[in-house]
Amino acid sequence: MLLHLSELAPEPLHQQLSRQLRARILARELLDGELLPSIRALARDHRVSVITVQRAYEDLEREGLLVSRPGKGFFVAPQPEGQRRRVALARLRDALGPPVAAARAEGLQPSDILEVFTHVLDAEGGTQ
Amino acid sequence: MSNGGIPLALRISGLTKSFPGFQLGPFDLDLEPGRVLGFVGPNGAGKTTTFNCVAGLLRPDAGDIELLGRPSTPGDARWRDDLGHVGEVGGFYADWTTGRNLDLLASFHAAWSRRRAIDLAERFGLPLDRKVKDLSKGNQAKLALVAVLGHDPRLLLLDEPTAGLDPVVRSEVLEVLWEVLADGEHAIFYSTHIISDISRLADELVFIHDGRLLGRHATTEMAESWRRITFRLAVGETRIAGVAEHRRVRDEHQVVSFAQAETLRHLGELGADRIEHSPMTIEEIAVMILKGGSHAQTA
Amino acid sequence: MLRLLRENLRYHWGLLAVTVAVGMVPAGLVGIVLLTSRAGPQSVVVSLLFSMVVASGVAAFIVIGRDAGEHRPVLHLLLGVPLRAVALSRVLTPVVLQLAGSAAAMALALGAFVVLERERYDRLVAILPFVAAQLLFVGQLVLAAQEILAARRDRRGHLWPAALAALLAALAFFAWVEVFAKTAMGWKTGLVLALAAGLGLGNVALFERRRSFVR
Repeated sequence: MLLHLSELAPEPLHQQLSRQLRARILARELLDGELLPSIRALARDHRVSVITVQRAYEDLEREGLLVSRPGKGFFVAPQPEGQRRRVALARLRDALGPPVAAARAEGLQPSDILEVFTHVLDAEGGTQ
Repeated sequence: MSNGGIPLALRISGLTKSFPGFQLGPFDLDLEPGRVLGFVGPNGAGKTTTFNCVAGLLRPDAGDIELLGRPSTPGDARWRDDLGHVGEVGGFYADWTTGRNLDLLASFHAAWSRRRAIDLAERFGLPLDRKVKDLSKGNQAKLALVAVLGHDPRLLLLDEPTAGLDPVVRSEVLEVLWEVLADGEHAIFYSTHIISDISRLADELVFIHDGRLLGRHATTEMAESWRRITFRLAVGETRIAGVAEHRRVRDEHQVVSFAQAETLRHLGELGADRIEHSPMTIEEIAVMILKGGSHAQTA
Repeated sequence: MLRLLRENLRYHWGLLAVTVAVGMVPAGLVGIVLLTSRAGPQSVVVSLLFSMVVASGVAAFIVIGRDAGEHRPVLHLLLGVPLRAVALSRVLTPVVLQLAGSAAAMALALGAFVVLERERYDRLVAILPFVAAQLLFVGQLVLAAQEILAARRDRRGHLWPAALAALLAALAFFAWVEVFAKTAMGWKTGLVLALAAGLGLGNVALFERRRSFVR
């Protein structure tokens, strides 16, 4: 697994890591029950500290996306069917909050925002 | 002892050392195997003194030092094979070549690997056939590193090991350290002014100023909690929660926050708007912590 | 400890060779000047042998300075060698080096009966060891001075004045042996050697009690 971690990015390294892992889990690139690389191996491969990887894994475990078995490592937690959808919906809601608020503050109407949203959906949908 | 009965790589208890006009400690410090601890502080803060005490080159006035679970004093060299120290001086035989000096080390360290030493010398660009007295400062630093890595000690004490090294060699040194850490049994205590060297390598940074520890922070926590935040707020003199530095031009404010969640919440309560925040590099955060420490001392 | 001492000697022996060789030059010159006189050849031999012994002593002083300047204890301590071994090798390195040069001179002196007349030979064979003993003593004096300075730097307020007093006492006793003692050369040599040995033990003890090995 090759991830993209940069100190120049706006978010802390451990959050970059958990974000990318979360995306792969939700997109089923990492399958249920799959064993993730050991903390030490991932840290060494990406030249980040052990605590960075540990924090990312622990955060994802707390979110219910990973489960740890002592002595064995971290596994992708089996996701009940609705769970993935719920998590993805919650993330979309959180992500949209600030830009929508900013748009309203700049004077856009709900209808404008919905129009933009439809455009974006079409553009992205085209690539699916 | 740490988890599962595996001894700490390093345990410092009540370390105290006084000089005229300066006192180090007393302080405690632990380091678990497999971890990297960065030691950050201005010149004269006590980093080298601490390292010398741990390495057994300096007898503290008080306190205990345990290396890999065993007590360590200057007089007791039994476990020193498991320790590697890079300091200000190496004590090498100046009229002998680098190679000859390394051969000497090989004959005293059971765990020395000639192959590894030659390989490291090559990677760092350290000439083996030159007399130590003819080595540049950079090459001397490389010799100290090879000397310390050659016998694969489980605890590395690195006091400014990359001072005087060009960026390419520094990056190679860090590569080697990543390799050393790979098996999880080695611990590194690393002091440097070049914080960017250890910002990715170190799990935690411990700050020291004027002989006292200012605090110990995981790099993850630092990256998460510190932010530069700008906002607009038309109020009088208000102390914003969680702020280390505050600049203001009329209604426009710029703060450095060490607890961004708290600060943002407070700003929300105060009704600030045009809130923008950006992350800070570990180096910038370290500077702020050190500045805060020095302010606290002079206050 | 022996391994450490051996490595140290390997490092410094070249200096001994050079110093002795250099020391022979003035002795040789003196010899050439004396060659014309009746006692010429004998004086040359005596003067060369004396200069060998003195040069060995000088080499020992230079070695002490060299090891201190190169911060040798730092390297030795981090080899995992016990502190006592480091202390002993520090004290013994100049001693062994000097003894090597002096022993060579003595061996040659013993064989010099072919050149020297009986009285001169007897005097030479008695006085060379005495000169060597005196230089050994001075060598340990230099090390002791280093220890006292180190103790003072370590701010060991009671230790360094006591050590200094002991040093001065040894020096006074040495002066008495030199000037006043009316015993045979052999006894004088023995006394000075004992003084040197005493200083040497003191140097080992003081080194082990150092608070800082880093300067």
